[in-house]
Amino acid sequence: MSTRATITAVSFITLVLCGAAPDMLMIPSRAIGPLLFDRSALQDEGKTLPGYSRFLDGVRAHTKPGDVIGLIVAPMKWQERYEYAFFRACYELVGRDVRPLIDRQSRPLPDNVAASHYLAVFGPAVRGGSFVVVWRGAGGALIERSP
Amino acid sequence: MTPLVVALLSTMVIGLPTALILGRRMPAIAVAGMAFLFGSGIVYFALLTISPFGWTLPRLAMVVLIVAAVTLTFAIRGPAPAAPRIRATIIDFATVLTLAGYALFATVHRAGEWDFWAIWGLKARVFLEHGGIDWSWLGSVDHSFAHPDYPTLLPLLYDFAAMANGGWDDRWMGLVTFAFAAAFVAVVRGLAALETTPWFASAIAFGLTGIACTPRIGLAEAPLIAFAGTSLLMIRRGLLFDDDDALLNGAILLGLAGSTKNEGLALFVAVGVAMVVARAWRRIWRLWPGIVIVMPWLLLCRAAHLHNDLVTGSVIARLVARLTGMYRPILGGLLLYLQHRWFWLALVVAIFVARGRDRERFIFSAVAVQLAIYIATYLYTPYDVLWQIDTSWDRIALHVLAPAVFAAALLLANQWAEGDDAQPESVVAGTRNGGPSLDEHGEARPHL
Repeated sequence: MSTRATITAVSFITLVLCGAAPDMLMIPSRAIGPLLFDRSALQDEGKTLPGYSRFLDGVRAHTKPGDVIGLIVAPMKWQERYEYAFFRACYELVGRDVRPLIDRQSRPLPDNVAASHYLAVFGPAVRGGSFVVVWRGAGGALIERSP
Repeated sequence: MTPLVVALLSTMVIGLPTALILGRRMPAIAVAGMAFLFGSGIVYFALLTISPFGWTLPRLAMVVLIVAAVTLTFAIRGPAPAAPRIRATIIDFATVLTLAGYALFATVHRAGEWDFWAIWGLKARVFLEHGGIDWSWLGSVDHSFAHPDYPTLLPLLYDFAAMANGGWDDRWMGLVTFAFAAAFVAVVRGLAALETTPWFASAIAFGLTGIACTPRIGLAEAPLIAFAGTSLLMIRRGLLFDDDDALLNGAILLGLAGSTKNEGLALFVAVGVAMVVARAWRRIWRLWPGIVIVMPWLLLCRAAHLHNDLVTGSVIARLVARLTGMYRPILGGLLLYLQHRWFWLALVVAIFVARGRDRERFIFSAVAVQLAIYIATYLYTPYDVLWQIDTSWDRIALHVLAPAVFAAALLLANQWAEGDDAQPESVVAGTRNGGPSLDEHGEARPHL
């Protein structure tokens, strides 16, 4: 084989091998029980807000479509978990009107508080008071705001 | 899972008549891939059309039939030669195994990546709940994080799957991502078979599985890689071999790329420039079906006052400031955050080694222009530049890597085989119009 032919062959093989997906190729050959790839690493919740999905399931079960729900997630800082919590709540509570209670600069949004039928509180403990606790569980509570 | 599988197979069936006619010179495996891609487009248009009236399955079925019939009427041509058959090799078995592994990877968990539940899946779920596109939701300032101006082919495809399922369930939505990857690899395998030997064609398809099998499950990367990649390869084929059907395929797929992500819209510019570079500017008008496909969403966005977040504020001021003051950190960021460096290096070396790269002017120009557009975007983005590069550059660069790899690998493959008697398996079955002509040695001769 000439030098040029060798270089051509090596270039072709290198290009093909660089583009292949050996990780995916190996998956079917392994036992399915302990899966080769743990995609949970790509799921943010475990790292960001453990248990948050279960909390949102509870909020969904105790509200109905069209309800306006304000979100409280400690700490109330947009860049610290609140952004994730709000976006996630929008997804899990589709049909309800989920409102952020702070803006992207972490400033309060009192208009959204006033418009909310419910407040979904995740994280801080909620004690009884002048408001009604509709549901408590999964690390949070659902409060009905008095009109 | 069963309803979702039925929905995906239905999508293929919906697109099959169009694929059979437009892909009549293609091997069956390419037609199968195109069937899913065209079917996705038909489902998208059908749901977009009936959105003002409310989504129901009977209404959807009726519109799908009408859209499919219109597409067929437009696509019917005269008689064509028999579609070429291809020969499988052991490398194809490795490709199938890779795709099987990818199907498992894509479905081991419910679709849970950030951009799925914050953008693509979120919109799909909102639309499903609303029974159509919810323009007031898209227009709400609270939902600007979901990029309301993004085209909606993928969310509407999710909605089709959810309607078949009787409700929203994201547990198996990863199969949609897998379907696009498989469709793309199928088309690549078929196109490669038309221009080189079975072994090389198999190797090229295998070498593109890494791009097709994106780890970003549920996002629009897989659909865009499929639509953009097959579009460029079809247009390439149309230009090289005077294949009008391939050019039409490419134009339609380009429109569907533009209906998937804004990067697909940018691809129109890249393709236009590349056709000028390839001295095929007189045929740019043949891309008009793609324009027709993207226009409805663009007009609807304009009517609903949905704007792209990248062009907020003073674009010119940011552009000038970054060009004059930040080009070094930006260049550094582009190199630092490019994860598949060895692959890119292998591609550059391959292009350098290959003879006859002038033949692939169109592909290499299109890829270069598209990458330049992406880089230009970083110069005027309103967000932190290095953050934007870190979170997007490697992902979007892969959108157009596949066609470049295909072209380079094909040049090398045929260069390697030059001394052999082996013929591209379908060359002898090709005809002048739509297939390669043969020189005195029976080798494929391109037209440009």
